[in-house]
Amino acid sequence: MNSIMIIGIGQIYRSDDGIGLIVAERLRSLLGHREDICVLNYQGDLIHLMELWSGTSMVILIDSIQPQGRPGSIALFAAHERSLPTICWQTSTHSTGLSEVIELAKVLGNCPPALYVFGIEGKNFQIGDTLTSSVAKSSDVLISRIRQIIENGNRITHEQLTTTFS
Amino acid sequence: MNQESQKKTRIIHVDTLTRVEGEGRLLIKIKGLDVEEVKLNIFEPPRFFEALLRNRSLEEAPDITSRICGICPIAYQMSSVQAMERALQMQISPEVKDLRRLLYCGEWIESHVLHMIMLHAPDFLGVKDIIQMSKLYPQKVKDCLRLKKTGNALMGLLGGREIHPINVKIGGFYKFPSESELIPLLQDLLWAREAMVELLQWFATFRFPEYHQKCELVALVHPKEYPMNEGRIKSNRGLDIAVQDYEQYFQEEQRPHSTALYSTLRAKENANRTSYAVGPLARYTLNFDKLSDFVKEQALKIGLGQTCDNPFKSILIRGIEVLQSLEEALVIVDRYRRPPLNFHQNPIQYQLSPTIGHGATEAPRGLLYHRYNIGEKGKILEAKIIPPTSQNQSIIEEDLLELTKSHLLKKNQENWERPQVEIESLQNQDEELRRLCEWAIRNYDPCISCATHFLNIRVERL
Repeated sequence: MNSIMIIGIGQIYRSDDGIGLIVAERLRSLLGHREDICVLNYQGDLIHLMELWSGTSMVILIDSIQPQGRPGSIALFAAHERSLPTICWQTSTHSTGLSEVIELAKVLGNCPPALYVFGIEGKNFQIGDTLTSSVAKSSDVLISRIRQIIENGNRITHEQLTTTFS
Repeated sequence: MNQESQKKTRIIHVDTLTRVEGEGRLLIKIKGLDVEEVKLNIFEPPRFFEALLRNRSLEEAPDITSRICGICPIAYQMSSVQAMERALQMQISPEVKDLRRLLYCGEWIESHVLHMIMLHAPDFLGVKDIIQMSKLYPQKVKDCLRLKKTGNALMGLLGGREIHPINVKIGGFYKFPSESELIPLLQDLLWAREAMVELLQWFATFRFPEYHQKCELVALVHPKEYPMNEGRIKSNRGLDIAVQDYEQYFQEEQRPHSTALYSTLRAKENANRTSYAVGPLARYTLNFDKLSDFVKEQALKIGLGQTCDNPFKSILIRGIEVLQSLEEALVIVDRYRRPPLNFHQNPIQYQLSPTIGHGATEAPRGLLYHRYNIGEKGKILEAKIIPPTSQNQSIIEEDLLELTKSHLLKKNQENWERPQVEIESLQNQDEELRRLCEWAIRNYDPCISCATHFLNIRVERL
C-alpha cells in the first residue's frame, strides 16, 4: 500500500488546465521509483478517483483553478476537512466536478484520511498546449513544496494551508 | 384557481438545467389554464464539427468525431467507420464486428449507468443530487459506480483509453487485445450482471408518473440481434428504410431559441407524422424479441411489457439494456480468440471518383446518423452528423407541453375540490411543475454537447 499518492488532474490540451498533469509528470521523474509514493497523471472520469485512491492514507491532488486575477498563485486545501471553494472549482455541466466527487467520497466513506488539493490559478483555458508564463513558473514552487512535504514525513501544517506560495 | 389568477401570465423558467450534460434552459409561459409557450433553450456554444471535418482525410473521421462527446465517443466512432467503410465498399470480418460490439457494450453500460444513478434516480427519490442520494442508499450508489467502472474498463481496454478512445480505425482496430487481457474482465462482468438484476428490482419500486407518449418511435432493427451497430431504420408506424435513405425521410431545421438543430420526419402524405423519438424506449419497443431470454424474463418481472410508451420508465429500459450488454459482453469475452499476427485487416483503397458513405448506429441515447461525401484521395468534402439529442428535441418540447397542460388541469381540479382549505400557492404549484419538467427532460438523457456540434456559417464580405 502506498503511503502517499500524488495525482495530477486536468486536460493537457486546454492550456493552463494541463498544469496539474505537467507537475505530476515532473515529480514522477524527480522522485524516481519509490515503494511508498505513487505519482499519477489522471485524465479520466473524476468519479473513479475514489477507486484509484482507495486504501491510501494521504492523497495530494494537483489541479488548475478558475481565474481569480492572480494567475500562477497557489492555494492548498484540506479537502478531507472542508468542501472545496466553489469559486475555484465550478461545477461542470459536462462531467462530475472535483468538489462533487470529493463530497461523494466523504458520504460513501471513500475519502482518504488526508486529502489535500493544490490549486494553481490559471489564466488561459482555451484549446492549446502552452502554459501562461506565470503558471509555468509556479510549477517549480509547487514541486519544491511537495518535495518538502514528503521529506517532512508527509506532514502539512495548518499554516501551510492558509499561506499562498507565490 | 380563482378568476384573478386565471388572467395572469406566469412564466416558469429554469435558467440552467441541472443533471443533464451540457447547457440548456427551460421556459414555459402559462396564462390561466393555457400553455402559451414551451421552449427548451439550448445555449451550449456551437462547435462546428461538420465544418472541421471538411478537407480532412476520411481516416481522421473516427478520432475527430469521437471528440464531439465525452460520454458517447464510441457511438461517433462506430457511425463514422461504418459510413466510411460503406463509402469504400469495405467488408468487415466477424472478428472485428464482435470486438466492435463488445466495445459498444462497454459504452452502453458506462453511459446508461451514469445517467440512471447520477442524473435520473434523484428525481424519483425526491433528492437534489447523487450526494444526497448516497446518504440514503450508499451501497446502491457504490454498486452503480462499480457497474459503471465495468463499462469504462471495456472501453479502456478495447478503445485504448476510456475517454475519446483511440484504437478504432476504418477496417478494424489498431491493436487487438490478448485473451489474457480480456479474461480477467469476466469476473467483473459476472458480478455486474447479478448486481444489475438486483438494481433493476430496486428501480422498479420507484413511483413512475403516469404519462403515455403518442409519437412515432424510431430505431435500428436487425434480424438477429438487439441493435447497436447494424440494422435498418424502422418505426412503430411502418417506417422501414435503409440507412442511406435517412435524409429522404428526416429533416433538420434551426429554431431561433436553440443552438441545436431540430429533427423531424418529413411530412408526406400524412402531415401528422413529424415529431418522433429515438432512444431506449424506441429500441426496446421495436426489438423486444431480440433481447436474450434471461433479459426478457427480467423485463417482465419488473413490470415492463413488450413495449413501453412512458418515458418516465426509460430508467428501467436503460437498466434492461445494461443487462443485455452485460450478457452479450460475457459471451463475446468468453469466445474471443486474438487474431493471428498476420490477420488481414482491409487496407484502405481510395476511390478514384467521389463517393458517399452513410452510417447509423445506436448511441446510448438513440439513433446516430453520419453521412460523408468523399472526394479524391479520401478527402472529406462534406459531413452530416445527426445525433439523437437533436432528434429528440421536438418530442421533449411536446412532452413538456402535454405534462404542463395535465398539471394545470390537475391543480385546477384539486383547487375546486377543496374550497375550504387554503389553496396551495401558485408559487408552490409552479415549483412542482418546474421539477416535473426537468424530470421529463432527463427522461431523454440529453447530451447537449452532441446536439450543438453544428452551425451553418455564412460569410458576407462587404
